[in-house]
Amino acid sequence: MDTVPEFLAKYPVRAPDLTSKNNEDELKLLTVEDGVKLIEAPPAIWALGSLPPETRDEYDKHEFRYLWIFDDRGIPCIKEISESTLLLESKKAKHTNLSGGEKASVGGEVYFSNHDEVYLSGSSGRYRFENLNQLMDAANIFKVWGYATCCLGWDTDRERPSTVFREGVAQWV
Amino acid sequence: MGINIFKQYSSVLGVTAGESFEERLLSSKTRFIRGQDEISIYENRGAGRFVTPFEIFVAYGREQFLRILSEISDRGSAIIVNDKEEPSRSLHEKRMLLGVTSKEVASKLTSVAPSDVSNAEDAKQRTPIRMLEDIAQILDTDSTCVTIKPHNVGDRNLGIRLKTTREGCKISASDVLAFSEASWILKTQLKIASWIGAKPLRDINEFPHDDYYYGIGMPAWQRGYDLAIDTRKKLGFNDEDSINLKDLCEKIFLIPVIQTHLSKDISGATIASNGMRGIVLNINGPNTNPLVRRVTLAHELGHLLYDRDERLETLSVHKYNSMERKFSDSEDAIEQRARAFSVEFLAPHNNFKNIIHNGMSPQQSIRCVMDNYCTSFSSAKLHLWHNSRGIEVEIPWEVRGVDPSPSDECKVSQNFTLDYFPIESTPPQRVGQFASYVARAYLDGYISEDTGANYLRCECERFIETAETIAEL
Repeated sequence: MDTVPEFLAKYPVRAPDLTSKNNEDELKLLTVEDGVKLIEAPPAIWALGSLPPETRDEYDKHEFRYLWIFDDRGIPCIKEISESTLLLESKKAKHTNLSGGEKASVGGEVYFSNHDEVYLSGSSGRYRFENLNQLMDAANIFKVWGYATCCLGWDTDRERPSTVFREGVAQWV
Repeated sequence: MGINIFKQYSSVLGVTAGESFEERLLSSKTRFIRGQDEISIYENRGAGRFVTPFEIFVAYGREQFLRILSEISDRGSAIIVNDKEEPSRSLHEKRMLLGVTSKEVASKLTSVAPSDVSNAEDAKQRTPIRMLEDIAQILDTDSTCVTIKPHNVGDRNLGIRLKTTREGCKISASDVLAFSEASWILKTQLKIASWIGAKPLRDINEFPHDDYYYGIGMPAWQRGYDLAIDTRKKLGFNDEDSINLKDLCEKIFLIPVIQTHLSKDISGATIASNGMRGIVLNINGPNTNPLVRRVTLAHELGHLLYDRDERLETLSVHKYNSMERKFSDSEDAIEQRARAFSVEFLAPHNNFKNIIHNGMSPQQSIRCVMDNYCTSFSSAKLHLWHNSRGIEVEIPWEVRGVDPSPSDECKVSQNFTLDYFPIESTPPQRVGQFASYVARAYLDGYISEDTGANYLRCECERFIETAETIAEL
């Protein structure tokens, strides 16, 4: 499938899993004024460039991770840590800050290595991917739009998306 | 770390109970599932290893355990990899230390190809965690923290010793890996023993190392006899008692005894690794006869109790041919002492005059010692020949016509559980006390059924069904 509406037709929006919610700020809807962007065709000139993390420490210290979701608006996205998100109780954005706690289909993390090249993970505790096919369908949309898209892949041991990059696992779509 | 974390992370650990930190941890019904790079809450799906919170706490330490709880609470998953070169670097390093090929490692495992072993050593790849753990166990590295512990090569000295033994004594790659796995079993058994509160009934330090091997008027075999007499006395055995050696090693001293398949010319070995000691027995070759295996065990025990670590050199491998020889001056003193220890420890010669009767033939006399003390033909013959003063039967060195097989009674009492074990797929090196401890650790909540099944090389369901039986063996 090539578009977000096609994706949503196959994978409808649903309420978030709030098991890991720690405070009400995590449900606050962030807006354009807070730095929310809608990912569209490249170049994403607003994006700050980086490569995905390969280790725990690299993940923890990463300053250029963006969160994204698929919903009726398309692909809203926000830098996880920014001046705006530091004002939140968690000091960083959650996927539910993109939805205001409302329904979305899936969510993940993205790293812009270039304005037209992305490394994509399906890592979201709130809007989880169910399997690799679903994740690759989402990654394909980025590719169709014109991004060189590398998907960090699926961890079959945990049946969840991979959060860190391993060269032999990540796939260019 | 106090018990406050159980309230703070109740969304992860669930409902817990108990007064102490360990009790609360053991009471958690949460299971985590781990892969090579990340760990998540187990939700009945995924091919990875699911483990208890206790296992995570022990493998990763306090600080990382807290971080894992925090991350899982926040995102549902925690990243555990902190060096992208691991575990590939450690596995490769250990395999090189042992001097074995990927093909040789794969041959020791079910459903693992040489290419899988190579992939596990490729930092670019992600290998299924079950495969990584199995490879780690064969290579004697810490399988519980494989992927996160840098330079996880286990006992480097043992690895070097295995390689040099292979080159010097011409033991096969299969033997090297059997010893390597035995070392992993030894360490895991002792670790689990500490969790479940298994304690030795006698302190091995009551039997201090003995540096006296021989002297003027005191050949090494005499010293071995003296040590055996002294040991029996300290342990409270009378001369007529037949000792259950396996119980002595595993229950009284808590020395692991691992029985495994080795090349036919190897009888056994002692392993000393990172302060832990254990005995490996071959179940091939002459040791197929449980009486011979018993003598081998007594021989290894003699080394383990009385030889210093430096003399044990982390691994001492012994071959079968020694028991067929008389004691001689040309024999290595360390081996002669252990050999003499074994024959006397099993069958005190002071009691021969009470069990050997006038009119018995040499064959009957030998058989009498064998049956009374469950010792082997060679050992009984050597000991009788050497101590024939005081008995009325002359034992020639060349004796024929004695059935070397054990009596039915000896077979049952001395066959070290090999005859019966409820899980067919468990290999011999993992039955016995090791299996019993694993089952107990599962029943007490320390390890998951998945870990238990992995350790005993069986399916989860079978492990769960038989755990209580195995725990009682």
